[in-house]
Amino acid sequence: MLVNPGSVASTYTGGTTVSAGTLAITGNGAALGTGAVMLSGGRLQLQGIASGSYRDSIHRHRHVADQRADGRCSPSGDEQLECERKRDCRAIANLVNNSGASSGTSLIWARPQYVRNRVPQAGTPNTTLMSGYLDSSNANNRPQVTFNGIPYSQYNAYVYVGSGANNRAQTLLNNQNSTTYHYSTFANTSSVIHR
Amino acid sequence: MAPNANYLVFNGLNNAANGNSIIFTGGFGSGLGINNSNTNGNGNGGISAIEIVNTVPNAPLVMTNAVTVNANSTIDVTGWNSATMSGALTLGNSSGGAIQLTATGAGTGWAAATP
Repeated sequence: MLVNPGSVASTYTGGTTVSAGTLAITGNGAALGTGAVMLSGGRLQLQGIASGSYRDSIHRHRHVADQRADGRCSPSGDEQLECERKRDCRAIANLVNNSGASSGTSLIWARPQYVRNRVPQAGTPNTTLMSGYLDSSNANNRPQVTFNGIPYSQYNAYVYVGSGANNRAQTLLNNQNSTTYHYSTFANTSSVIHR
Repeated sequence: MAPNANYLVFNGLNNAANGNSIIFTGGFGSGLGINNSNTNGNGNGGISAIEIVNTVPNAPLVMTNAVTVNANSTIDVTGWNSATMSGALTLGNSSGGAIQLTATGAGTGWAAATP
């Protein structure tokens, strides 16, 4: 996992003071160090641990070998064969979550004008996962990524973005809320695969 | 324009808003309401990966830290029906005045605070 919010123990050894407002703790050690907690007012909310996540990347839809090695993507045998044949798998019927269990979620990467494939820089699982993107540069063919069957009633989404160069204006939105991000790319090497 | 980004976070998503589905759409230029303000030649860029993270508590929290209370304060377990505090709890302040620690919670209320 890349961001892994709430499930990595804090390495901070100092104390924590709450003097006003609410400090909500969502994971063991996620927001607190190992030191004492001082309540000088306010509210300490021990609201329980929210666990469970899954993710997918465009890179795995281009390189089936990475899908298998990663163990997070669980296409059926027929889908794997189709991916092998096309070297471009754009739909997954059932993602597995971070515990290895089926999530019942399907996913479709659609409308790419290009899939640009960056060479992994350090060869780590995370850099390999990030080595490619669904290109946004055609105004008449916006890329879309659709999740169906999400098992969580409430959730956050972390969308990883990249480019072959820095300082390129991009935008990203979703169909659930009004949040639209306008951002500038920050990435390095690239190679281009024209669809 | 936000600073250079490696990932973007969409908080507060839920299945009530649009069934149990969500669609992310990328773009650049005027088609999605922004100006084509690229400073590096073109709009090439896009989505590399997406991670969906559950935010609904599904297990109790265990807090091992020592806790000192020196002013009126609240410990709340809203979100899950129990939590455990296994560290030492110290109540009091240097002035000797009264202070109050309030325990609150939704659902079955607070429980299992065992200092």
